[in-house]
Amino acid sequence: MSNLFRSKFKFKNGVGPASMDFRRQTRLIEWALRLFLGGTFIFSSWHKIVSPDQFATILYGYAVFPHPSINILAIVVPFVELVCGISLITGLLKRSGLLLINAMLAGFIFLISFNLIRGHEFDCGCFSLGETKGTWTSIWLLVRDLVMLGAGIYLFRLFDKKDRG
Amino acid sequence: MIFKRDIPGCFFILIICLMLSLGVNALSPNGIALRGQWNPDQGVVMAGANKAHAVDVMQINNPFKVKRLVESGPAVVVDVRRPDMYELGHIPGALNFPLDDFEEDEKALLSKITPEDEIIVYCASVTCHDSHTFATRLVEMGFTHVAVYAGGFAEWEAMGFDVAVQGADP
Repeated sequence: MSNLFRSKFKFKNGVGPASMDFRRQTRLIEWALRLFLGGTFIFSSWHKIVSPDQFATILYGYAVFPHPSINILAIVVPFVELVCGISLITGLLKRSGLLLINAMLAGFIFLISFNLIRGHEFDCGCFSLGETKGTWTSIWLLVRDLVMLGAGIYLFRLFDKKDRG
Repeated sequence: MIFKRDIPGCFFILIICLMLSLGVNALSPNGIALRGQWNPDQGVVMAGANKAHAVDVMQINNPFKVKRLVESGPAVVVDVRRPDMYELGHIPGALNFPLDDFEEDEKALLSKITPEDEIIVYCASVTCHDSHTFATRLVEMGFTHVAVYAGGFAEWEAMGFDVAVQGADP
């Protein structure tokens, strides 16, 4: 029935007004998500790049990472966040950038959950250095990262649909 | 669905990030060493400056040595924690100069210490590196006898040594 309706109202190029609206909406959503995720990662990388020593101390506070890896992670991870954010916003290697962003979010979710389960308090260090600790703060961080990961997965599916035409 | 070209793209981004981050870290005055000191048994845990900007600061890991220096010697003890923490308890005779107020308090600090003094700096515990940052600044200013008490106030208190509270200092 709906196919019949669509075929009756097709334009010359085969795209109906509803479909055009849907495409425009999808494009808007895609851009909003790219700006949101990319901007968030660029913003969160900045203080870590400026103060790698403090970020390293925060990583130590997670009590998860092997000691020899802490400094290397504190040096490299902020730049991965920065470059992936830029890649997502500019569109250069945006699929790979988004994949890495989603992988990082999955990693953050694992780390926060792991520490919540074992009752270990830690500073997140996500957007500023020296954030308050506490169970509720960790739960809020977890929810925030889950929402961002959901947005990241949805955006990747949008990229997929677009690439397939 | 992840395409075959996405994975090489990820590696490409990671390689770019690795080169960029190591380059910036080597050139930045805030750069850190590639390997930090994260073993609390060996002193203050910290990332440490990269070699180009490293300043050697002596650390005292033995609380009894600190106690001896505090009780017998002319050592000036500096507590770099926040004033509210200092007021709750500190090493007897310690001066309070929080790291955050270093620039504002510099004149007052210089009126109480001279480059010839033996200075012991401490903060909250072995995981706090404010004492190390503070001591580094003193060394850069020309103070030569500066040491960090690695265990900080947490260790001093845990050892059962005398603790002074604000207003109770002689």
